[in-house]
Amino acid sequence: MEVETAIARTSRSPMIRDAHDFRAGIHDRQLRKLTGRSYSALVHPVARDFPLETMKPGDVFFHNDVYESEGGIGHLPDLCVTVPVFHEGEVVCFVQAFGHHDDIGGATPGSMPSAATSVYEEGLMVPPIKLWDQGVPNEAALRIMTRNSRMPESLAADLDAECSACLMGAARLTELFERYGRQTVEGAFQAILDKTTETYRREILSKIPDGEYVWEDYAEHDGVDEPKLHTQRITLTKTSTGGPGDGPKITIDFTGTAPQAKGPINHCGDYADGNFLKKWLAPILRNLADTPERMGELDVNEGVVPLIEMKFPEKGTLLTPIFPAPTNARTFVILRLLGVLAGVIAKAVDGKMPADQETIRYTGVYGKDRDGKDYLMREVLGGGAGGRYYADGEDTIHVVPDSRNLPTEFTESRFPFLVERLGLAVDSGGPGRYRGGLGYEKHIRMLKDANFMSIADRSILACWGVKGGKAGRPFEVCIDPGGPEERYVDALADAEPVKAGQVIRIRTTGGGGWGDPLERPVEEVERDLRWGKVSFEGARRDYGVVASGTKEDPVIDAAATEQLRAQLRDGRGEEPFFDRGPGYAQLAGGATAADVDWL
Amino acid sequence: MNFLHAYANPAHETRMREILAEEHPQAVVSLSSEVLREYREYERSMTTLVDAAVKPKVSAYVANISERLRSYTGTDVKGAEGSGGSTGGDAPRAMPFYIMKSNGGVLSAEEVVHQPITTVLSGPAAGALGAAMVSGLAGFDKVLTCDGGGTSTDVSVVLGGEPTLTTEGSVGAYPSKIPMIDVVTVGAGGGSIAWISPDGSLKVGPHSAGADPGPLCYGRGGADGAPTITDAHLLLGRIPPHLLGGEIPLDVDAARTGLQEIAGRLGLDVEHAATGILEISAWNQANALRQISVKRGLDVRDFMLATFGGSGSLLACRLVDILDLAGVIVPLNPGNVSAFGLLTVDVKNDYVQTMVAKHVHLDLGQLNRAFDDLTARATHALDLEGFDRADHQFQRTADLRYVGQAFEVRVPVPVEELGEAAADQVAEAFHDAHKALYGYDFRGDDRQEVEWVNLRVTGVGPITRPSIPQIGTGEGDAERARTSTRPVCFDAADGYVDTPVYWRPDLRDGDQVQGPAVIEEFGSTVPVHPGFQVRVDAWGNLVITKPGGGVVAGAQQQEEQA
Repeated sequence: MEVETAIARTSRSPMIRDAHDFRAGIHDRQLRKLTGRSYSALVHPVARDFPLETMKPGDVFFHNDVYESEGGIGHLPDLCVTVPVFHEGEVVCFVQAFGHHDDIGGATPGSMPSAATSVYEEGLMVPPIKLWDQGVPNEAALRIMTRNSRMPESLAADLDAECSACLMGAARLTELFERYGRQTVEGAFQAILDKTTETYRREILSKIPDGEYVWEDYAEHDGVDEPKLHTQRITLTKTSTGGPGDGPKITIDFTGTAPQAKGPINHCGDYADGNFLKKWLAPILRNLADTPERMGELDVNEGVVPLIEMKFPEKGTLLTPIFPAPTNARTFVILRLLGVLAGVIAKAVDGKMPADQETIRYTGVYGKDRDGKDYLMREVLGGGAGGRYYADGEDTIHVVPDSRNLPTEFTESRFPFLVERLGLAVDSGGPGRYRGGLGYEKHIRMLKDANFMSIADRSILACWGVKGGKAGRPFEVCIDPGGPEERYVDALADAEPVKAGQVIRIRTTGGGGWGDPLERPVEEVERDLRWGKVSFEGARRDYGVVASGTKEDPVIDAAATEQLRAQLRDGRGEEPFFDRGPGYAQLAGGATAADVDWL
Repeated sequence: MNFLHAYANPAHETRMREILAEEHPQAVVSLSSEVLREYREYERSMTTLVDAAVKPKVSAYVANISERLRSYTGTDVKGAEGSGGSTGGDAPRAMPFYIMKSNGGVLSAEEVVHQPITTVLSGPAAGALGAAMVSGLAGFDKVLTCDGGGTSTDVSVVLGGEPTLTTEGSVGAYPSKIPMIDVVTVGAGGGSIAWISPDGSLKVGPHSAGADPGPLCYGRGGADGAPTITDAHLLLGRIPPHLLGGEIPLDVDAARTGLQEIAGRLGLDVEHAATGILEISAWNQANALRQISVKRGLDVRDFMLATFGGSGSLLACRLVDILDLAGVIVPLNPGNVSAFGLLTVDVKNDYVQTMVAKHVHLDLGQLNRAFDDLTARATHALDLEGFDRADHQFQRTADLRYVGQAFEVRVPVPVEELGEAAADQVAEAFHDAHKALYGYDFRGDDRQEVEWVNLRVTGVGPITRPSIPQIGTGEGDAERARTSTRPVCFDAADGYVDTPVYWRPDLRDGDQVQGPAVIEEFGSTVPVHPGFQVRVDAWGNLVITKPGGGVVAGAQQQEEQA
C-alpha cells in the first residue's frame, strides 16, 4: 500500500495517476504472490532470464513484452518493474509494480491501435532487462525507451516513480527479515498462502455442487473483421476430490474458445500453466462467500492456485495466440472471461452470482491544443455493475479499484473542449428484481477540430441479466446528436473526426439485472423514478409500473400497475436463464439465445 | 452552491447567492468559492455540501451554548458577540467563547457558524496540540502522538512543535479538503474486542465493547462474552484490578473466563492468548503510526511517542520495540491532555486560491496580487476577531508539482513581496521536499517543469498560552512513590514476574524507575516493560527509553533541543 501510494503521488500518466491503473505486489522467493488486494504481474519471466543467484542488491528489472511475460503482461503500455529483496546476501522475495503508461510508441498515440494486426504495430517490446544494475540506472536502455515514446518526459517520470516505490518497498521488507529472521518471515508467508487455500476450499468450493457446467460469452468485434461472435467458452468441472490433500478442486477448460482474432483482442493466457489467469479469475469465486461482508474480507493470492486446474485449447485461439498476434485490447477477453466464469457458476448455483458488468473502456480525443501542441485526453469511464441476489448493481463502477475521473476543471483547463454534461444514463441499468447499475452519460463539446478515439466492447451485445433479469443498455457514442451531422460511431475507433462546436455524446453500459423485474417492489421503482434512474416510459415497459406526475413527485397507479404486471406475466413464454439483450440476434443470425443459455 | 471554475472567478456564485436571498430568504447557502477556493470540482462540491449540511445544526448548537453561557454568567458572551479578542482592563468580564477548528486554531463562535466545515474532526486535533505543547516544553519537537480511548486510538505527527496538517481529510465517505490536523484513527482502544475470523486468525477490533457493557471485567457480561484489550491487560496484571484510583473494582475472573474460552479455540494457554491479543493491538497502532509518518517521508526512529488518553500508554513500550522509536513521553494527567490542548491554541483562518502557472512563466505581479488578496481576507477576519493589527501574524505556503503530476507538495513561502529570487527559492524548496518525500527530484532537468498550483495564507491571532507548573525535585529515590508489588506478565514465555508498583503523584523531578514496573495514577496506568527505564522530568512527564535501543536518537533530539 505504501508502494502504491508513492506511485500514485508521483506518476504523470493520467492512466496511472487518476485512473489508478497500476498495481504493486509482493512475491516470495518461489515467485508466489503473497499480497491480496491488488493483482500484479508475474516474477516468472524475470527469474527465467536472470537466475536468482545472479541478482544483486540495487538491481531493478523491467519488462513489458507480452509474449515474453509468461502471461503476466497483457499489453505493451503496462510497464512492469521488479525489485529483488535481499537478506544476508540472498534473494528472499520480490516487490513488483506495473502501471499503464500513456504511450510506448506504435502506430497510434496511446499505443492502443484498434486495427493493429501484429504486435509490431503496438509499440516497443522490452523483454526482461536489468534497468538498474546494482543501483546504477542503465541510461542507454532508458534513452531507447523514452526515444520510442510520444511522451518521453512522463514515461521517464513514471519509470522513476515505479522504481523508487519498489526500492522503498524492498527496503521495508529487508527490515522485516532483519527484525524477525528469515525462518519466521517465510513461515508467515507460507501461513498466509495456506490460509487462503483452506478458506477457499472450505467456504467457496464447497458451495459448487460436483458436476460439469458449460457457458460461453462473446466479444463482438476485433477492430479488423466485421462484428461477429468471438466465442469464449468455459467448461467448469467441480470434483470433491483430486485437489490438494485430496480435497475439492475445480477445472476450468477453455476448449471451444474461438480462433485468434486478426485484431488486437487476443490474450496470452496459456503460459506458466495459466498461473496469472487463475489469480485473475479467482476474485469471481468470492461471490460464493456466505455473506457480502465475508466476501469483502477474502483476498486472492497464490493460495488459490492449487485449487484450480486450467486446460487450454491448441495454439491459435483468442487465449492461445501465436506470436506476433496483436493484444492491445485484450481486455475484451480477460474482462469477458470474468463474466463467463460468473455465468457458468451461476448455472451451478441457481443464479446466486452477480449479473454481468462491463466497467472498463477507453474513450478520448486528441489533436492540437490552443498553442498548436499535440495533446491526448484519454479516460476510462466505468459502467453499471450487475444486479446481485441481494442488491442492485452499483452505478458507474470502474473495474480498477480506487480509480477516479479526470476532474472537469482539470480537463477543461488543459484541453480545448467543454464538458457540458456528466451524469447517469437513464434506463441504462438492466431491469430486474435487483436492477443493474447505470452507466455514464457524458457530453463533450469540442472547441477545436479533433479526433475521437474509442476502445470499447459491448456496443452491440449487452451486459447480460440472469435468472429473469434483463440485459443492460450497450455502449454508444453519438457525434453531433440532434445536429445536421449526427452519426453513431463504431466502438473501436482510432480517429473519428469531430469539428469544432460539435458535441460528442458518450453513454456507457448499464449492468445486467438480477431476477424478474416484475417482482421489483413498486416503491423501489418509484424511488428510481424520483432519482432519475428510470424514466416513466421505462417503468411501464420494463417493470410494469404505471406512474404519472413529475419526476420530483411521481404518482403510482396501483391498480393499473397490478393489471399491467399480470398482463406482462401472462404474455411471456418460457425464458432462458440468461438475457443477452436485442443485439445478440443481430450477430447470431436471428437467434435470441444460445443453447448454453438454458439451464 | 458549486459552479465549475468558481475557484478562479466567483462572480456567478456571488450573484446566485443574491438571487437566492431574494427568492428564498430562509435558505442555508454555502458557496464553494468561499469554502474552498481550489480546483477539482468533486472534492470542492463535497466539501461545500458538508459545510451546508452541518450549518443549521452548528448554528443552533452554538446559539444554545451562547444562551446558556449568558444565563450562567449574566454577562455577554465574548466571541458570540464579536466584542473583541484582546480587550482587557476594567471592561466587564466577558466569557470567551471560542470553538476549536480542524486546522488547530480556534475561532469565535460567532464567526464559526458561517464556516462550520472548518470545525469537522477537531476533537482529536486538540489532543495533538496539547501533546505538542507538553512535549515541546520537555525538549522534544519531533513527536508522534497516540491518544488512546475506549474504542479507538488517534495518532498524529508533531514537527517543530506543531501538529502537521493535511488537506486530504474526509468526513465519512466525503472528501473535505480543508486544512485539518492530520489524525489517523485506528480501531484499537481499551474496549476493542478480540475475535477469531472464519479462517481461524485471531483479530482485535475494530468492534468495541465501548463503555457499556464495556469489557468483561466491568462485570456486565461484556459484548457477547468476548474479551477485550482491557481484559487482557487485567489478566496479565498490567493494570490494577480497579479503575479510577480504586473507586471501581474490576472482575478479574470474568476476564479470565472470556480469555480462556478464546485461548482454548486457539490451542494456546491463556497468557499466550492475552499477550497475543495485545501484540495484535500494538501492531494495529504501529501501522497507523507508520502510515502517518512514512507518508511524509519521515523516519519514525527519530521520533518520541507522546501517549495519553485512558489507554494510550498501555502498549507504549511495545510500540518502541516495534517501530524502533526514540522513546516515550507520558504527560501528567494523560486523560486531560486534549482538554488542555484547547487552551493552547491561537485564532487561525486559512485562505486558498488556485493559480496554476508554470514556474518559468510565473507572473510575479499576479502572484503578489493573489497573496495580497488572501492576506487582506485574513486581515479582515482577524480585525473582526478584535486583534490589533500589530498582533496579526501570517503564514504563506504554496502547493507546487512537476507538470503532469496530480498531487502537489506544499512548501513555505516568505511573507514579503516576492521577487524572482524569492520565487526561485520556493521552487528549490519544492525540489527538496519532493526528494524528502519520494526519494528523488528533477532539479536541473529542464524537461521537467515546475508548476505552481495553489497559494495559501493563514492568518493567526495569538492568544496567551497557559504555563505548566513544575512538580519540584525530591531526594532522588522513587521508593517514596512505591505502593506495592504484584505479579505481572510482560512476556508469556517468561510468565509472571514480581513487579513494583508506583503511585505517580508521589514521583518527583529526577526520579528514575527501572522496568519491570507499573506506574499508576487516577485515570491511567503505564506498564514499564523489562529493559526500559523511566525518568521523571521537571513537569512530571514520564520519559521512557530503552537503553541500547532507540535511546541514542532520543538523546540526540534532546541535545539538539538544548
